[in-house]
Amino acid sequence: MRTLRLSAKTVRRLRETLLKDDEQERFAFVYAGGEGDLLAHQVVTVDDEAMARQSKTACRPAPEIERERLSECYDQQLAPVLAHSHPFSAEPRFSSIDVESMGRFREWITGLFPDQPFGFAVVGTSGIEAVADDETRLEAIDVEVLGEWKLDRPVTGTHSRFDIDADASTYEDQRYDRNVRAFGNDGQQRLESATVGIVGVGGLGSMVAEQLSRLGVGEVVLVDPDEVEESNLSRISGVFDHQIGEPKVTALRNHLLQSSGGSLSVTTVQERIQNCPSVLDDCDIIIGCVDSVSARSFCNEYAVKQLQYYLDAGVRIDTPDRTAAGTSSNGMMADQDSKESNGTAIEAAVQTDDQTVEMTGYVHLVAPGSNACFDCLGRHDQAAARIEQLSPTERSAEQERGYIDDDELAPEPAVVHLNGQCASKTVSVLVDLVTGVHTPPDFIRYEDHAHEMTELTTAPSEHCPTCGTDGVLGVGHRSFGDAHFEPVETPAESD
Amino acid sequence: MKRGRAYEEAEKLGDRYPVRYSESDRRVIIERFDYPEGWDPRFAPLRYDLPDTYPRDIPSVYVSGDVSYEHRNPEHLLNRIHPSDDDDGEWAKWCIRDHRVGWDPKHDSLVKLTSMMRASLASPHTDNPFEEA
Repeated sequence: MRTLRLSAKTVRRLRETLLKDDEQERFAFVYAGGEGDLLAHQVVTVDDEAMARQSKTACRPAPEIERERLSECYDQQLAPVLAHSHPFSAEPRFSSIDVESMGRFREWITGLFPDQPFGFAVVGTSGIEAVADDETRLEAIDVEVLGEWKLDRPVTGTHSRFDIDADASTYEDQRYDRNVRAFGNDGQQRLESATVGIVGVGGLGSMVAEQLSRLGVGEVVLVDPDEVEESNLSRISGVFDHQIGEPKVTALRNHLLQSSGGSLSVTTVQERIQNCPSVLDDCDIIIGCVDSVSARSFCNEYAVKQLQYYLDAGVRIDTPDRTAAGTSSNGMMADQDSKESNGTAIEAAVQTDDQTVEMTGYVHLVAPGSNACFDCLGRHDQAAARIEQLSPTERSAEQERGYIDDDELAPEPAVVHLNGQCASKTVSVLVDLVTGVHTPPDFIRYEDHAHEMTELTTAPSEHCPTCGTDGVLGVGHRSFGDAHFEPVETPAESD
Repeated sequence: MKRGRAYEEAEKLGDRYPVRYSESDRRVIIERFDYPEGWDPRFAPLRYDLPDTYPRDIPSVYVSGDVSYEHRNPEHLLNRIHPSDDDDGEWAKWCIRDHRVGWDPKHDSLVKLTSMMRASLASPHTDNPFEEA
């Protein structure tokens, strides 16, 4: 069944603008991305003055407003969801009058904008009901709220991607007996039904994958372009000397199949995620364990566009004579992972016994539009991203000129036990999210020196270039198109 | 890459210059950019390659391979560095690494980058022409 996917921010906005004390019905357009599911991007409200009709039992915008808004929405390559309120109802249902009106709307919209997607929604004090056009009729669709735990009042009757069939069988298998005792049969069923995309399967990602396979997660998609190197073997889980030179995803796959008892479905993709984003389309959660800030930013943006859950995990080791570079430009965190070198051999500094080493790890849960994304927290590191995006020729030219310091290209320090801490917390947050046993945290910071784990609460920023007002929340795949234009005319010579 | 924003910014740039925009190539070409005094010829193309992280990261800038500066070769002009699709030396990279750009994805745009480039090309030997501008 198709789904209308909303962020907590969108639900709040709908409730604030459509449900007021005077109990008048009100109207808003939700501009939504996506080709199958409808992904809420933006709520465009209709002022009371712009309504042709408004009462406690009915409402309709002026026809010119309807035309303007629909044109604006389709111009942005988005689909309109025409939403109105039932302020008198906690769990609203489309009334017979609504159904009749929607039929007329449908004829009108398909006449004006043939073959374009659209839907309708009714918002009550607790629930939301939605339908979408399926070319021949209007069909009921599920409603899902990402990060629903961020709402003061949850939306009743919603569907979670982690829901299981009510008649799901109980576990007889002894393999997961202790898991079931920890978070119940339903929790275990939810894990089994989950598909997790792991981007980067080096020291951190391989441990996350190993734990997920033993927990009984049903399916994983492993994405990593690299091959196993000797310097990986001190950290990477389930990969051994004889596998040096093999693609990391393939080497790890064999181990995961063994550790799961064969019940895990594993898809492997030896590619940069930027070149194959569609492999994440069917994932319920994406976990980023990459060493590239560009790849992290890409995963974050993909999740924001697609309204997917994203877990960003990483570690950082600072030593006195060098500062580890990574995903965060503000010193909050950086990361480490699967790729050991940037293609340039640099002698790493040798540490001495009296050096103080600061080791930190973090897990950042992004529920797009409900808590802070990677860019809300300013975690994108422009300097690192710029270097990553240079060709080898450009890189060496800039090194020659002194634009790039040698230590900017040196491999980061990395140790297995820090990766282990971080991997376990990542899986812990995933289990919270999937099983619903606990409310997942927004951000966890681990300081190895003090053995302290700190939980932080985050909120999305309106000014965020990715999930803020002018960002790409819920726009779907729209950005990977082929739009182009050329000069209308060349101006006359003026020199 | 965020199509909506790059597209809109290129369109705005098109109000002032003849612009060729390709989303699939992530490329913006100003076909007749007015190079500042000292450059010859004064009107030639200027090219921006957008990173797939745009607008978080600043685009790469290439000047036309046909232009030259009147005195010595500017330090920021990397004549050996061409875009991957350019085998004929049609373009040369303009390195803005040490320009202290301070690119802010919330406020900066292709239009602003173009103003910054005019400033940079007008003082091609200074270390931080953007800041001076």
